[in-house]
Amino acid sequence: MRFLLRLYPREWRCRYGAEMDAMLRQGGRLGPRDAIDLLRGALDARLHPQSRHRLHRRSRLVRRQRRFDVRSLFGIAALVAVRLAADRLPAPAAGPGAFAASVAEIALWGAIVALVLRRTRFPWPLTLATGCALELLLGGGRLSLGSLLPSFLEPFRTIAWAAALLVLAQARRPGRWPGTEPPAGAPVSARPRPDPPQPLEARGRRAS
Amino acid sequence: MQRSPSELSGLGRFEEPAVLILTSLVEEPRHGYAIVKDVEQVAGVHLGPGTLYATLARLEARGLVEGLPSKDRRRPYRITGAGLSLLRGRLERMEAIARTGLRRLAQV
Repeated sequence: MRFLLRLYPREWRCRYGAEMDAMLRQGGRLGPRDAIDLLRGALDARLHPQSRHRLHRRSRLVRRQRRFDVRSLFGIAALVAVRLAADRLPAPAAGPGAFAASVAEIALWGAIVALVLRRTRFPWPLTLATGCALELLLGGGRLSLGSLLPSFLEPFRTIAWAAALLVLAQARRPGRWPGTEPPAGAPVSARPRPDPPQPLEARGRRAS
Repeated sequence: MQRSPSELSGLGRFEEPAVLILTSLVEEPRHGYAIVKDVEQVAGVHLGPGTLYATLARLEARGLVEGLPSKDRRRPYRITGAGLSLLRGRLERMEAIARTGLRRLAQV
């Protein structure tokens, strides 16, 4: 039954996974009602992620997300322009150096894609490999499958390449679940903490 | 029916589990399994693991409970001052409703 915990989002499992797992172990054999409850919980965790961070800074996050989207759109547009310009450059003449130049071109575009995706959840070797793979599939170089397309389809090839980049750029790095884990060895009181004092200005408003 | 504003009123189906969990934590900090057992004993309600942690996450995000350092992968939770005052208000309203209902039932 504990495999159902895998259905929860990764952020959730980082925060609650270990203790839920410990609880399921302690509870012994679980019935179908508990399995359904876990499924509903996993669905809820995906639809309504909860954290203090998200509740109190949602508007800031949304603003940051929009800025990120606009920035990534501009970035992709700039890349498409560079791409179109680079594809107009004359190809190296056939010869022993041409193959090496094509490989270097693929690696260069792979590195560019790795730079574009550096703030995403993918590790850099994967982004580099993805960039090289995209170049092999959709690039215009001698070794790329894209070079087999007729010339009038070249803009669509570039747009498909940029769209794939845009989709990958949306895979943001997951945030940590902040502010919930007290430091190890911190003194623990059994009594609830009192509310933090309100600012003096707020008290004055309430009194008037 | 108009409800007085409280942070619990936005919890939807997790509102009742939230009251039960907060009530359980008033006595002492408890981890998940201990909360489930206490709620079963006090209210006769079985909280499934999904419901329990979905509710705990909501309460924690609202600052009504807080997690303490884990022991053997089991993390106890403690009710905060805000959680105490919210629970007190909620239970007083429930008590008033129960008193009124019982009084009217006695007249039937």
